[in-house]
Amino acid sequence: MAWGVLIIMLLTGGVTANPDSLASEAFHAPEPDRDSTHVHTQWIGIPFAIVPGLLLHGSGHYLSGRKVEGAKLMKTQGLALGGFVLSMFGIIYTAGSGITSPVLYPMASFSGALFAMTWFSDVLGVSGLSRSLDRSRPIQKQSFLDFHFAHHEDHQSPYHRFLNFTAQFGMDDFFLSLMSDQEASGGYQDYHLKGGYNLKSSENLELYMMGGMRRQQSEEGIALTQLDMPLHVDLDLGWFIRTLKHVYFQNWISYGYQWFHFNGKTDFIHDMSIGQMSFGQRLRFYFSDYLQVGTGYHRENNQLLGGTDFLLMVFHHDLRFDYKGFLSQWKFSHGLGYRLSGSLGVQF
Amino acid sequence: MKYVHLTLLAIALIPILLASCLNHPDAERFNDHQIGIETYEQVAIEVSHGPLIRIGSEFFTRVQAPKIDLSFQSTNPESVTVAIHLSNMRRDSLPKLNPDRGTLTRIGGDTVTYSVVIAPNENISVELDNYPDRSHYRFGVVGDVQSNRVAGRMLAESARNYNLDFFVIVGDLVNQPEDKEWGWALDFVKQFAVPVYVVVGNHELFGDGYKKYRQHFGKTNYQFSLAGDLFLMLDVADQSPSREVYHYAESLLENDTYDYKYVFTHVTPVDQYGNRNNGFASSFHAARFLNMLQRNNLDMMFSGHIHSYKEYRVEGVQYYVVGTGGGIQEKLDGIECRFLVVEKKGNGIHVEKVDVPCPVYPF
Repeated sequence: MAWGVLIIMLLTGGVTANPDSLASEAFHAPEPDRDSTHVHTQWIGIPFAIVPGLLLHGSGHYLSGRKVEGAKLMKTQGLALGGFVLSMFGIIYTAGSGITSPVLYPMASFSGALFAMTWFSDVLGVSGLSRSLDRSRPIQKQSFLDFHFAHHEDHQSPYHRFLNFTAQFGMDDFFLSLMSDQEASGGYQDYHLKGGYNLKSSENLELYMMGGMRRQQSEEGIALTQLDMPLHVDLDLGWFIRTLKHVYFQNWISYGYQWFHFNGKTDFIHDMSIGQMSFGQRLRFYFSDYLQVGTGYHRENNQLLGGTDFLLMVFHHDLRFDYKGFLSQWKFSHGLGYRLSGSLGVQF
Repeated sequence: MKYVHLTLLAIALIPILLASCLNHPDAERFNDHQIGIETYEQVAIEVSHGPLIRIGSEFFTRVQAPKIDLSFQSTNPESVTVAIHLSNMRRDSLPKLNPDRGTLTRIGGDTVTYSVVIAPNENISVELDNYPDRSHYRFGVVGDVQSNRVAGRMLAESARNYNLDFFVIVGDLVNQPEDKEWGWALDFVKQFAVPVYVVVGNHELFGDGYKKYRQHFGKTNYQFSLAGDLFLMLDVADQSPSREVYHYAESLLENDTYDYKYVFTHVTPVDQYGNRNNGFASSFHAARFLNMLQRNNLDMMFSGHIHSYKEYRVEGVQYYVVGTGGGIQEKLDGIECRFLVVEKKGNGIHVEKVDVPCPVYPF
């Protein structure tokens, strides 16, 4: 019963919500999109975006009368699905060959991200939510100090309580950040220095070449050192489909080496890493200053937190709330274990 | 009204979040405790290695070690006769009984029947040893057959030429854990004509794989000793040793009375091609695991999962990735199916690579 009332309220809200009034209430609201489509037909798109929209992305738009955008979403879904099937076929056919994987794994990841994004876009578009979202300022261009406390559980490590400090200085064309993650007993330390240069910045694309060094050490005598050079792509496809305008995702491609030390000796394990990646959606919308909701998949193999099953899935979910120069971030990551953190910081 | 949109957004995210949280198979990882235990006529029966299935008044087990213990604890005021059919036994001779209690009868192929009369309220423990008084052995190791019937037949045929004592399959014996594949697997392992001991792989665990695997093969973490050496089979099929598996391994490897120590897993700790992540999910944990192995003087570790042959050595420990036994071959490396023959002779351990031109599968 309660669910029924909630659904009716949501649907009613969806019908009566006026995107323009939303924008006018926002603290720093952007100029809303002026769309010629009929708002009164949108509500019916919400259930269509779920059934059959979960299978056929764009159904919400198409069946609520916005056929052009719906068809574009369907085509994009087809393209993503094709890319995913093709790359997965290649991975399976070559049995994950170390030679082909550096190309095929990122391709599978990118296609998978695009596939997920077309469904998000369908839902966001028909619900009118895309109007209250904003691209805002990319996180690399922000300067802030952030402290957080994290609780960590996984299968093996005896490390549970972490104090984290992150300082970032960001400008339009480069950024530099230093992260320190200390386990409370001192048994594990992680230092990560990274910087990036903005190769390209446009309305639709932020492209960064990054360089970084990272040192992770535990009291068992294991030390990992990594040099990584991720390529950061922050892509906005609003030029292609209007409803994709305010939805964007990131994809990292990393290259690095790791050295493992054993009981203080200089022996090592060489574990080359190419194509570590992550993707997800970061949705920002104006609430006070703004609230950012993110969810994503991350795959890398030098963390305490490992992944599960196919593609070693580690998921990250986060909330970031900015208000008058202060920020608070809440993050939850889970794979073979989890990490939960909350923070306070300042932005300048 | 903005709250409506926030709520809508949250609802849209719920299926994704739920889907991402669903799969936590690790709770099953060390749930071996009730395997190999049954009760009959007020007699608690336990088999140390293998499942114990009761059908009516008959008991069946597939033995997963060269030497096993059977224990019977009776609270029955009357005498009880128990007969257990044991498969996957050595074919050329009956095992030695210690103490010499009960009778052994070969009923064909790799199966013998052990019958014993339990006196009223009696507790007895009997050891069945397939290879008594051995100071040497020769065994084969292969991985990832993945229900490739043709390749499996060729492997078994080739293995029979090496006069092996037993064979180890380091996971992914089946491709999909369905009844027909389990049926094939149980028939297939008989083709080796020697006992075959199995390690659990990720393909065995799809769906309710743990349950089915334990029904057919017993525990997912177990150990045995032969000729003074330790053979330790571990479940890291989900690309991570759980805390329990780690401590189980450490507690056994700490014992320095063994001449040689072997570990068998499906997944190798470190994949030399890190980008595809076919080693442990966390390389940090892999390094910790490698340190533990090195600290406890492990000699060799055999794994599968990666469908190509690899070997590496870290601080005195030799690691082998034995390659595919029929699963899709890793292209571009020029290696087809391969198994290893490991032999303990007077002057140490020798490892030989045996290539089998198995058919490409499934393409």
